[in-house]
Amino acid sequence: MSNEAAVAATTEAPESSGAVNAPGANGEAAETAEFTFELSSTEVIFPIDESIYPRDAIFGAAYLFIDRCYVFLTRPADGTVGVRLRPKGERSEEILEALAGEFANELLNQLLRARIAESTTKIREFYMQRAFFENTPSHSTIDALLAELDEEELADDPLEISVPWEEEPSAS
Amino acid sequence: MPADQNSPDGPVAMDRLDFSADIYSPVAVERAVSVFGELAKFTVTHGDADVSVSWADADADVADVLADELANYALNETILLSRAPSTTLR
Repeated sequence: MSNEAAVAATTEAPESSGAVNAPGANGEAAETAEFTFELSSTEVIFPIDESIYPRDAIFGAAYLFIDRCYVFLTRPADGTVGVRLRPKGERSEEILEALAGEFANELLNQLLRARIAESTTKIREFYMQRAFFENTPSHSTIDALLAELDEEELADDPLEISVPWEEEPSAS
Repeated sequence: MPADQNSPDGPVAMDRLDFSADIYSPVAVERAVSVFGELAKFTVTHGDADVSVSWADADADVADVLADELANYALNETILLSRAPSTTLR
């Protein structure tokens, strides 16, 4: 059995196909982007465009499905990664369709996480640098206390307070 | 994908998985074969585009899931290697 569903945006697909119209910014035709998948009784197969979803996003999504699915990746064409999901447990058309949708959602999630990580790299590096390498108030306090202890150890002891009780000061 | 092949000595059930070398790490595939090595007789062939893994005499208890489990293991290792520091052998 084969099934095909258009989930994402397209401008000219008939409504009966399940497509969503998404006009461009100025009302002109937007680029067509479809998520299609093939269903069989045991597995669902769909292609992913690597120009939209980079390899790390595909790996990240696949990694989350490995515990409940058998995941196999193929290279059907240049710039395209084929994903085959085979549930380890119960298999039905509804479950397979849901898996394909979940995978597509997870792809978006992974893509977003990567972009946020990329856009916040500088600020994270800045915080780490401050935390480890600069004199924050807490470090200054600790350093001051250590310096004070060092000074005390090196200071004179006219009252010989640091001499143990067992020893007689006059004997030395 | 799994495929049956015949040997010159007669029909021997062989299964095969072709891992895209562009996607799967050859090191990861080798590790998967090593881990599953006691469950069948494996042969690994490194091509330009694929790393082909063929096997025969699979343990009857796991024969129906061997290909899927092997592929999952290879993918898992590939992902872990891709996230490892750049000095790691891939």
